[in-house]
Amino acid sequence: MGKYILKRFLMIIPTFFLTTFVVYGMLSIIPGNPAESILGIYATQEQVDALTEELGLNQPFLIRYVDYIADLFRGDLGVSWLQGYRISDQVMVRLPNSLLLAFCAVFLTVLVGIPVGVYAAAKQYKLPDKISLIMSLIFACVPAFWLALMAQLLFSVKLGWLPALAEAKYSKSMILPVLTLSASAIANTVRTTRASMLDVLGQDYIRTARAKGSNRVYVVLRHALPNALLPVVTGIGSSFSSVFSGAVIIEIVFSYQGIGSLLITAVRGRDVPVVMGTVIFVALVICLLNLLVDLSYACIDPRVWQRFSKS
Amino acid sequence: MAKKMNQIESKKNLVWRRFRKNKLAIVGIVILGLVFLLCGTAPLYIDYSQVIYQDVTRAFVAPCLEHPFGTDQFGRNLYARMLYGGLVSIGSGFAIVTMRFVLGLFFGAIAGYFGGRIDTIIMRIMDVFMSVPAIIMEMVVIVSLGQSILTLYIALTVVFFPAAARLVRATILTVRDQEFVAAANCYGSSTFRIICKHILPNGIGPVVVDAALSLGATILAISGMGFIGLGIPSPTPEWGTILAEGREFIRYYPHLGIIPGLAIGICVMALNFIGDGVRDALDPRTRK
Repeated sequence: MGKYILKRFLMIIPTFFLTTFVVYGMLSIIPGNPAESILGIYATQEQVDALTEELGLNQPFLIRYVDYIADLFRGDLGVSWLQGYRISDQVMVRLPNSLLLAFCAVFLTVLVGIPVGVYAAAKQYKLPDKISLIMSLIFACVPAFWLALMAQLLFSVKLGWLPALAEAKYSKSMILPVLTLSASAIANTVRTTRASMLDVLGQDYIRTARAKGSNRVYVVLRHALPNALLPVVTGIGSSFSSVFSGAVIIEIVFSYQGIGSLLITAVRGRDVPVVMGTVIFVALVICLLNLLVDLSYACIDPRVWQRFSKS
Repeated sequence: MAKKMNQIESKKNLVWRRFRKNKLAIVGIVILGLVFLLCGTAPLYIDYSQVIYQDVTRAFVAPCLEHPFGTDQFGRNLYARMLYGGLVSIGSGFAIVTMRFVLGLFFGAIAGYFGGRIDTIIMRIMDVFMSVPAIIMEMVVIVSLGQSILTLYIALTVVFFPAAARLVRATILTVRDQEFVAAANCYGSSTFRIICKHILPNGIGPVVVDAALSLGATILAISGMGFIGLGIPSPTPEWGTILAEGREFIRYYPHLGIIPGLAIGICVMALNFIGDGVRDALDPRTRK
């Protein structure tokens, strides 16, 4: 088991470096000299040249890339082109906020999605099943930003129950962002859990367990659920990525100080170092989360790492 | 349609019959048909100038007879904008899904057929695109290439084609080692011909279904980018951009926010119904 963990851990390193290389490459094909756009149209040629030299923009691509990675390991992400702040400071402040939002959303997904899916599968074709199917259909198909806007409109403006913008971190104002962010993930989890549970419940060993008199709830929870969990864990793993995607939009709608809003301001202003810094950190977080998901496969299904250690 | 006895039913007919029995799928087709009809015939009776015609004196009109969906902050007729926006949104969705399918086919076929180092390299690059969340990768592409309709298409294609490539590669891997491929190789078929004529037709089914199913998600992604402000630039109507423009005003004029969102939701729902129906029709499994 330990060997499996180590090998999986080592595998993310080349992927991470390749990701940084591809993203850095894509961001460096922007036409035009950034020094010119920073200084504006009234800058003299000497000023432009001086800034180009200072930012290291006249060096070949590979040297710039290696310098960037070296700085990255020292914790220096560079300086924003538009506003001149140190990028690592901003990222260190905002990344925990975004992580908090994402984790709350995923936590809610697991807490709500799996039980509802199990219940819907157990009561197949009856009313709870139909209701959960309809609700999950609605939440999966409607755009997340629209849901967020409508929720703001309904719960803040019309009813006044919840704050419209996310002000403090651990307060009531986080409820709407987390709810709207997790809506589509919950919907997909419910559908996946229900489908997976239905497959498992049709198996012979379930019928045997019921035939020998086991309590129905016991059979569902102890026999069916662990075997049904594998596709569900896959779904939750991929929902990490979509939660981060959605978080970008939700952060804008609710004015939440997270990494998504930083990214959007940077993209609109063509602020390449900030874009690069945020993308790297998000990619790193996703890589680590995928690693966790893979490791949890090994916990749920021992065959995963047993096969590995035999080969 | 009376069936003769002993008539062998073709697979297509079987699939179609199973699909027809699925009520939700039929509802999806009806809804989608209505949307296509409305949006597709719009250019016949609504001139494009009505879409961009601004009359600020009549801004923020609520839905009424003259303006069925009301007007926005510039006094533009929301009904005309929604109809043309449907053309833009759904048309863009089709274009992107097609581009994604072609690219995924190309790279997946090469990776799957040749295997070895080429396979590893291609799959590693696909992993890179899949390890960064979708919206973020799209933003990187748009920053590098500038903002326009074409770069939006490129961004959305690049971000999602790795999944299609993986699917194609998996299909090819299952078919590649079969004997008829070896036989074709023996009598001298070129590689290209083997891939196109022998391997792909046998495995293309799930890939086509996946591509069609992803149309809904693509439309959501297009409107998402439009909402951020990086999508199809104004004044070209597109449902996401319409929603973004109306966002500041929905507090007092909710129709500006409710209508585009509902349109997107209904379209995606219809597409999901159809997609689920197709998937179930192609591969029915008996449930408890």
